[in-house]
Amino acid sequence: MDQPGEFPYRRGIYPEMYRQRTWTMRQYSGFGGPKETNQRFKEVIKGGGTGLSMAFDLPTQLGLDSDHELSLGEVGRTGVAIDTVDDLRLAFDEINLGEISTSMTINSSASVLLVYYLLVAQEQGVDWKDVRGTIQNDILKEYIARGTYIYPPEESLRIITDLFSWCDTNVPRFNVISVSGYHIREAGATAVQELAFTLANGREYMRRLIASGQDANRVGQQISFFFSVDNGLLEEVAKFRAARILWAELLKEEFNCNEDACRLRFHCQTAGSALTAQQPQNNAVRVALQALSSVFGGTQSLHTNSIDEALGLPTADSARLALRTQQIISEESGLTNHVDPFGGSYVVEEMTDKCMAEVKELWKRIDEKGGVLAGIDSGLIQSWIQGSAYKIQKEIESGERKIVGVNSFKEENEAAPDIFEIDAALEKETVKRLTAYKKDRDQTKVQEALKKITQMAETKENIIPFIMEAGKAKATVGEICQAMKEVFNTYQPTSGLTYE
Amino acid sequence: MSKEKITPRIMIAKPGLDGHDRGAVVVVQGLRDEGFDVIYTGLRRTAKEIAIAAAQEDVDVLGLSVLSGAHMTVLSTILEELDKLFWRPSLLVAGGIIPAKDEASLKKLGFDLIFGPGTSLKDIGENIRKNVPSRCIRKNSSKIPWVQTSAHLTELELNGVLENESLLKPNKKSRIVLLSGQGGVGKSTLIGEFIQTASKQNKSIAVIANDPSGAQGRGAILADRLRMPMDKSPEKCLIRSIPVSDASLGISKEVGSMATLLSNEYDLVIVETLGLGQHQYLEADWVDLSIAVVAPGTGDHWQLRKSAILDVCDHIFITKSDTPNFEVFQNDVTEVLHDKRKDKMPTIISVSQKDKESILIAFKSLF
Repeated sequence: MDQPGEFPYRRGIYPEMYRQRTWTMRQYSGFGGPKETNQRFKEVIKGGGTGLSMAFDLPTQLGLDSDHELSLGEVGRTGVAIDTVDDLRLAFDEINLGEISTSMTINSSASVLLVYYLLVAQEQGVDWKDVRGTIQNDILKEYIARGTYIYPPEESLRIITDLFSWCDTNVPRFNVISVSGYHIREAGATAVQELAFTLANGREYMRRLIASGQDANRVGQQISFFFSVDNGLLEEVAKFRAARILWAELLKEEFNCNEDACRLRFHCQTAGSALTAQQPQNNAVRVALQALSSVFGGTQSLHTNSIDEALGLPTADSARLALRTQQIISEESGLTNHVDPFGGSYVVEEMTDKCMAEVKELWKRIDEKGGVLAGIDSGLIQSWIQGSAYKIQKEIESGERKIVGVNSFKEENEAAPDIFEIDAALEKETVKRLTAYKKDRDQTKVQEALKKITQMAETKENIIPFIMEAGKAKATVGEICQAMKEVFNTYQPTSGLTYE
Repeated sequence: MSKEKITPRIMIAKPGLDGHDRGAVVVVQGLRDEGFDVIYTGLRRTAKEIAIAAAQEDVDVLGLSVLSGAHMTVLSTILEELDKLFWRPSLLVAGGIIPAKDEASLKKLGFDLIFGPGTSLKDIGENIRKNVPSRCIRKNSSKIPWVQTSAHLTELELNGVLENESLLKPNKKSRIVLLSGQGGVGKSTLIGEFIQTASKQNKSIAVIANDPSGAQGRGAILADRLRMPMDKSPEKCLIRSIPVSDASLGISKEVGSMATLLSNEYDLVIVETLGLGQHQYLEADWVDLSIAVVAPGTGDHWQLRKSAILDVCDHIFITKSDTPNFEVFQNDVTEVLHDKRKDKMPTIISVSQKDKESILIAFKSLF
């Protein structure tokens, strides 16, 4: 029987796991403007959250300023609107960036947001060597499932390799890439598909980064993962165990990494798609069960969803309940005294092996089609996920897959619950603030810095220092992304919808 | 009456910036299985693009999916854009994370049906069917020429003839190009490039995309539109998808008259068809130029040999010329053609999306 902390880490990546240190409770939050988000961040810290996780609105994620035509109605909706380094400073007002670790769910515009973050840290007098956190920066799953891409894959991958090498020197404690299965699963993938596509994406990043001159062991240590934890209590435990083995073996076999670098570290979020709009209180139980799965599976950090997220962003009350759920598991259940409690269970060990075999089978099919990039380009991977999403929906409708409150134990005439509302005036205020910001700066300096980015995009030069200069010159997220778009262009997706 | 004459056509669109389209693509597949022809716009379309696409396709039902919370703004903007065209579908549907309290205001705005989280596909299908039992010709008051043209295309699709027959008199303003090839050879990508080239050269272009339907009793997913840029000036670029119920034909019955109608109004008309098989349209009198599109990795030597279109086509476009084994394939094609056509060789043009020069050469060869 394998021991925890032993390669290939079937039973966990450390010998002591939660006995030594419990998982990081990292609640994803952010909405409205920077001030509102700052308020929520402070609540998280006061409530005992041990890390921040920042949600951005869609314009920010797509590199569009709040005053862009396409941003109309979207400002501050799905997360905080950040247009400028000023906005980021406001969001972290009175929060010491040398002490807290921040995870940012940002991908195609990650380089700009990270640069802003570092500029604010610098203003606070924090040494970049002490800045900790993660940017998601996983562009491949954006094409597959999440949709917030800007540039085509090759150009996006170039930014990622630039970021990696720049951060390795300047912000060594920052995780530059979090390879995400969460959104793939949320888009309708099965557990096996989630694992297969995510690890295949991870493999692609490994290859790219090593080809760009990075040390394989260093890359292995830097890459972390982000998985979904869905309803199948044991299936999910097996998935996490399988993930560790598959990744460790892959890194050793293909990249000759040392065993230290082969540890798969991951963050988990409970499945948003498993939440129901009907009888929303039931979601508290679903979230608790899913959270348990991730703890059984050995997660390094966890976000628990709020009960009202099938309806909108969480209210302050529901966000608190979500965090308390984790705290109850950690403080009261006694689970933190044990490592991999399912190790040796006939059912879970068999499920682990089966999951691994199925993932390998899917890898083979992806490789036959020319790898993940070819699979994305042809829409094949997307079509597999869409097919699975459709199958799940049909199972729900036929009653084969039971969902309490939806197709069994239904209640008529449910009262509409309170939902969190975004202040409609916020968009106007944000645009007003942005307009004032754009007026009050040295325009020549801004234009020169932006021109430099466009020029450097044409070369093989690392682009991050030039984004930094533009940030210092008060260029906005939209302007910086546009400067790169001039050279990189935008991505035209394929449908993925097949005729099957 | 053939199947495509009665199947209502639905467009499912994702307006706004929201990238979550699990719900939308599940609904697309569900409606297809309920027997509708469905067009999916793909992510992040502006209100204007959606309104134009819906009017060009002259859809019976327009369904909009929003999950980001931006629905009130985004949905009312789309209605404004539709009003600018003086065109409306028979049924307007909204879905996604839409709280019950917003339903009344959306209905007041003009939405007929609203499907919130947890609605079953069956409910969606049945409710739509109840309201729109079949595809129909909508009388619209639009004076915009291309909106009228779209309505005429529907008239031809359903009746095979036009009330105003004079519109069909060929005046040969332009050429009708038949572009055939198997799925995956890059026809739609190529047409997308032609649309951009036409726009740069200030030429107007119309595209008829023949899309295969699903199995019997099912509708079709008309997805080709997605690969083409939605042009900002619809008077210069019209795209119309047509479901083909009999896949062996690769082309819809009324397409000849539809192409003729368009050729009176556009500088270039491209009819995109699926497959390289035997069909009676290869040498139809309305076709001015026929082109076969082939690509490496999509068929072997023997399949090429069997394809009827290689016997008669005027040009051959070999796409994906940037792929590694391209030259081997190119030699294969040339060899097959030498055997088949001997003295009367078609023009062979290699194209790659990445090589803009090759796109220009291919485009020029259409005229």
